[in-house]
Amino acid sequence: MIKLKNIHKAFGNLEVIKGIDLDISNGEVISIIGPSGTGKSTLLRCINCLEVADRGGIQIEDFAVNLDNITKHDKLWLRRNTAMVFQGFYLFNNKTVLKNITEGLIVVKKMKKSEAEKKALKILKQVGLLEKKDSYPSSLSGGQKQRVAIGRALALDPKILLFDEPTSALDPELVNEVLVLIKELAKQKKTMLIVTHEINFARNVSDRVCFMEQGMILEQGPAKEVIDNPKNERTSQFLNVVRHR
Amino acid sequence: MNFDFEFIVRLIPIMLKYSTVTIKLSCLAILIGFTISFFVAIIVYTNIPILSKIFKIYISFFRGTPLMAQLFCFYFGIIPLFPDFVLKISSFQAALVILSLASSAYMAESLRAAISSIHRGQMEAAQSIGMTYMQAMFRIILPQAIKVAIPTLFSSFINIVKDTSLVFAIGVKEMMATAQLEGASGYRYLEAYICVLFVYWAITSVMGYAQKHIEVKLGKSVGEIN
Repeated sequence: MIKLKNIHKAFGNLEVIKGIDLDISNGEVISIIGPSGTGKSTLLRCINCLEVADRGGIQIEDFAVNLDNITKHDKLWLRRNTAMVFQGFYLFNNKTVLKNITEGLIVVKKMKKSEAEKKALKILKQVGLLEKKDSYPSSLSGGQKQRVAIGRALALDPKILLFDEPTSALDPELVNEVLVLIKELAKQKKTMLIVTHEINFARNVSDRVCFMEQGMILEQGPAKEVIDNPKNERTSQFLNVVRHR
Repeated sequence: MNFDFEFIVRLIPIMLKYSTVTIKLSCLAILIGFTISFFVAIIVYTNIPILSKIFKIYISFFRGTPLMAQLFCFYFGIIPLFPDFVLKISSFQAALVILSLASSAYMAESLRAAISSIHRGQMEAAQSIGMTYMQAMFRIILPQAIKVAIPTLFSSFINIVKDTSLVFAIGVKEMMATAQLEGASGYRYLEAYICVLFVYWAITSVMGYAQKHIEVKLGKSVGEIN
């Protein structure tokens, strides 16, 4: 169970997140949709502590973090229990595919090298890139990079996986392999929070959809309900525009 | 005036003997300077409050003043202020201190620039999997930054070797001092200086070769950056 309580974040005078509350059950898949620049990515980054929220609280199972005066220890704890998949992949360029995955296990989780490699190989098999284990990121396609990045996040057994527009930087023909993998993870009941512009994907894969605009969640509900019959006027305007691209 | 090849041939063993002083001084200065530059670069890049200001001034000072003036100021000006030290510090040690400090300023700048060139996402990804800032710095950012910095770092290394030719001015007997001495003794300045130039050239050529070798090796093991 993950609870976001009244999260606020401003960059200087620009208020990006204006009080977000969200409860996420274990195994739930939530998609966040909405126009660009409305704080969707920032919300994920606040959960992962890449940005420090100004106010609010995050609770993951029994561990509650007060964001008003967050400590170094809290930050590390949040980062170690959540995992982020970035729009730009950001695989470690100086490490092979296998080492991209073992790095966190060995350095952060203090796992033995042999154990970490065993786990990494299992994960590479799951994301379908076992044969690329000794390649460097520069030799992979965008879709393969993102699958490795998902593997890297997955390896740490996070309480929640955060996806920040995971397919936005991909060539159209590569989008599908990544979406298929995320769908697979949804079937395995991984808890996931996905920021995406792929409306159909959000409709199919998520349990719940949140429509976010100007730093607030304007509407949320079961995925098919929100996307097929939005109640909020702004949601339906947005969906109309996206559908008729 | 006739050019005396024999003189050069006779000079070569003497030059090679004193080249050990040049090489020793260069190697130590590279080692110490590079180590200092590492920490200076990280401190400046990370913007650690007071320290980064101090080291920015440090970089500016050592890059912005002539090495010869630094050597003279330190050896003839600062050391005599401490009577206990005067006898304990040799001119070689004084030269080593100044060469290390001065070169570390240049190398810190190349490293800092190289660190800045690594995409911010690399640090974020490392932190997102729970690494501390320093873990991310040493395991992910610096290995990539060093690859970027290798060409400019090697320029600094080569400059250190060339700059050791200045330290004869404070009395270190190395190759340049020997060339001057030998040249003067036989009025064969042209031969002596040509000989010393070629020995310097030989040393820096070996370094150039090492640079290419390291670049190829890093290219394989670090992978392409970006």
